[in-house]
Amino acid sequence: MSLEVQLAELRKPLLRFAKLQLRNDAAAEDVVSATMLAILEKPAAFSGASSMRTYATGILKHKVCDVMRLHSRETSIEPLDEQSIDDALDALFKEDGHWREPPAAWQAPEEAVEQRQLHETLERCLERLPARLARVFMMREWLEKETDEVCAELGINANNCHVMLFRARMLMRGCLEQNWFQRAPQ
Amino acid sequence: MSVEERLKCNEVARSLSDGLDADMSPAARARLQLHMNICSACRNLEQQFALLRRLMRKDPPDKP
Repeated sequence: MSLEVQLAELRKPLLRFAKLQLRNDAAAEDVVSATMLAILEKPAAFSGASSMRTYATGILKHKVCDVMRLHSRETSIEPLDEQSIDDALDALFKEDGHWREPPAAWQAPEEAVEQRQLHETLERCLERLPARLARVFMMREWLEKETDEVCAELGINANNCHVMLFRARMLMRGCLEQNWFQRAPQ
Repeated sequence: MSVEERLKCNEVARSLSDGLDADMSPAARARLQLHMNICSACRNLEQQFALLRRLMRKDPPDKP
């Protein structure tokens, strides 16, 4: 398969992740185009040690970080409805702090990781996260930034950062459970 | 808080998340472990957080 065809196939998934992180369609289009261009300009730089998708995603992450550094003060994201999220998380626990509905073990998680449909469910769950939580969560888990970097770039204190990551993880696990692990054919 | 003071599940859930982002003190780790030894629900949550991280950091399988 030619490089151009491989990149054309990757465009959509790369764009989805860039949009989720940047929450700005034009900026996401720009970073994906810049990623494609960087690969096309230096095709020999792709050694083939990883898949083209992994290689392109690595370049995209750098470009997303660059854009976020440049525009971190300009980007506005709608405020978080903290009360409704707290209420949803509080509802998971009884008054004595124990689980109301204890998390059950997910079946065959190792096999699930290799299923493309689970990754698509993951993306849909990310899209449902409130924008502010999604940004913090993706900086930590997709861009793999250290927490202090995330806090510094977003201008939030460490405790706030940890609270947001906790909320995002709980919402994501709930979404995956509801939309995959309770539904997936075992 | 002493090591003997038992954590509740809601506190453990938060600690498990924090532990993915920062080092924990030995005392905090010990308290967490005490709870994890007796609570399968929180052990499941720990595995689910770990799986979520793996999914986020792994590229989806290519289309067949």
